[in-house]
Amino acid sequence: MTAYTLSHFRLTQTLFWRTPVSVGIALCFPIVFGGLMPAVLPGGVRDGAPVEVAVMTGVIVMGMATLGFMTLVESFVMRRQMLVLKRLRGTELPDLAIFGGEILTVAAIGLFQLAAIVALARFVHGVALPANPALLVVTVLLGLAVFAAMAIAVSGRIPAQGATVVVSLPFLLLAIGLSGFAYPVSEFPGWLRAVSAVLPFGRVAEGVTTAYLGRDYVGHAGAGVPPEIGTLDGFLVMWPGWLVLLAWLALSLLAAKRWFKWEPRRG
Amino acid sequence: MSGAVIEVEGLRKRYGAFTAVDGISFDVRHGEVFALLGTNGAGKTTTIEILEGYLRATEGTVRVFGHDPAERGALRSRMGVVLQESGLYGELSAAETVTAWRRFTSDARPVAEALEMVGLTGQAGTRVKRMSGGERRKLDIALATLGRPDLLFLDEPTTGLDAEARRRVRDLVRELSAQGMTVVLTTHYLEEAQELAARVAIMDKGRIVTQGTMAEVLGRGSGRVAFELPAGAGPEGLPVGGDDTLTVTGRRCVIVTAEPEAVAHAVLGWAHTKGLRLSGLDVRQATLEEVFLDIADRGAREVRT
Repeated sequence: MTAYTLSHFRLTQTLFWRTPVSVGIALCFPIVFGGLMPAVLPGGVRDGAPVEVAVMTGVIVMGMATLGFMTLVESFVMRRQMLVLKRLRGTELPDLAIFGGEILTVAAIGLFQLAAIVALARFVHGVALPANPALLVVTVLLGLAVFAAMAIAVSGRIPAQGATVVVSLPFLLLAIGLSGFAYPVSEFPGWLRAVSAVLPFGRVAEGVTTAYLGRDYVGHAGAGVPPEIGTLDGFLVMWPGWLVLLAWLALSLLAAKRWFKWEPRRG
Repeated sequence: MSGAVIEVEGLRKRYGAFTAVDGISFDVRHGEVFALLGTNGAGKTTTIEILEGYLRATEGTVRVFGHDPAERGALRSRMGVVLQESGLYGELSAAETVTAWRRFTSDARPVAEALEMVGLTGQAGTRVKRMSGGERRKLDIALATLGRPDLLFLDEPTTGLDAEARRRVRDLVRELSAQGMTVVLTTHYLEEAQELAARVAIMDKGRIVTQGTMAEVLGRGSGRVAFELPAGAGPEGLPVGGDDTLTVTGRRCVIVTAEPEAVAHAVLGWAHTKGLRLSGLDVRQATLEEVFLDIADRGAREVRT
């Protein structure tokens, strides 16, 4: 099983690097965006954190959305419509290895992108390195897993390749809007904060901010600077976020089981 | 049944009110080439996709190596599949595709051998998106036979290939079969099926209308006795039985009959008695194409009435 997953991972990995759209949009665009944004934004403090950190958090969440969701939806719809998935199912690869390989590729490239954004923040914008790197990596990987599961489920509902934008674009806007990148979370109206609290985007952003600054940003709002917390405490304070993310993961996997299609939708 | 690789009993597949496969039974024996033929929409691909594990039967039993093919696990490494249509990664070269496939294929052939077998050695470095339809088809076959499977499904493997490439695929199938591989084949080229298959089943509207060894099936079709009459002689008194039909075009006579040998004897006797010398005498069994067209034609008549 593991060997099959790894062999499919090597294949999808090669294909990712051979697809200019994936490399350009999913991998490089968030990095370039992260490079430029702080340069055009006025500095200062947002919700008790330097604006650069809020921007980098948004860029990381955006990168996760493009890689974990947009790339995978596109990839599964395209491979299904082109009858590549059908062919793969005629090989020895178990179904889970087919998914596993694609998800590992997204996870590996996601970590690579994260490292690039962190390095950019440090060396170009002078943002201190993350205080809690373990929490950062776990948050990003779990977030990618949730987005990937959503992508697998949603791909089954999309009839054709050209139609993925119908879900990709709103998804990206939600990621940008709710991660606090475009607009400070503290200035969200009450209803939006309530909605955001049960969606994965803001929860991932909380984890990233908490990890970056080593302070408890879970449920934080307003100008105050939250208290410093250690590595383990960082994981503990994130419990509402873990719950929301795991719930979305479970829900998406159930939806994927119902909706996913191996063969082309016709008509 | 001993020696059967595939056993199908009372197989039905319905899509809502439409019955694609309507209660068929057949078996495929170890090491043989079995041809499943039929008009478009007869249910061949549905049947094959049930055997491959892509679709589930609505009714009936299907066993491949004694397993239900819908449980893919046990059969995956023993089966090779060439689908009627399937995609490849355009960005990979032929050799890269085979290399990637080798990583998840048990006991896979070396890349060079796999490409050489289908005549793609010269295209090893060509990206799939730059290959012709025929070259892709060859790559399909190379991938399906990569793990030396015990059972190979070929769903219209030669459609879209030129004559030379078709001959190459035919030789390859013969070679694989000689090595003990069981092959299930569908094709639109009936002479290909006649040449390759030991046994055949012909489907029409979801049912098997005739099946058996190639000789049996051909024997069930109408044969032809053809000859030319000498100048000035007419066909009067030619021994043409009730079910036989005589067509005269100029001096050329063709008798379509279930018993070509007996009719040939009778015709020669008739000519001898009348002192006629026939030329261009040709006595033969039906070809698979004629058997097939008879069935297709019968089907079309039923639809019209």
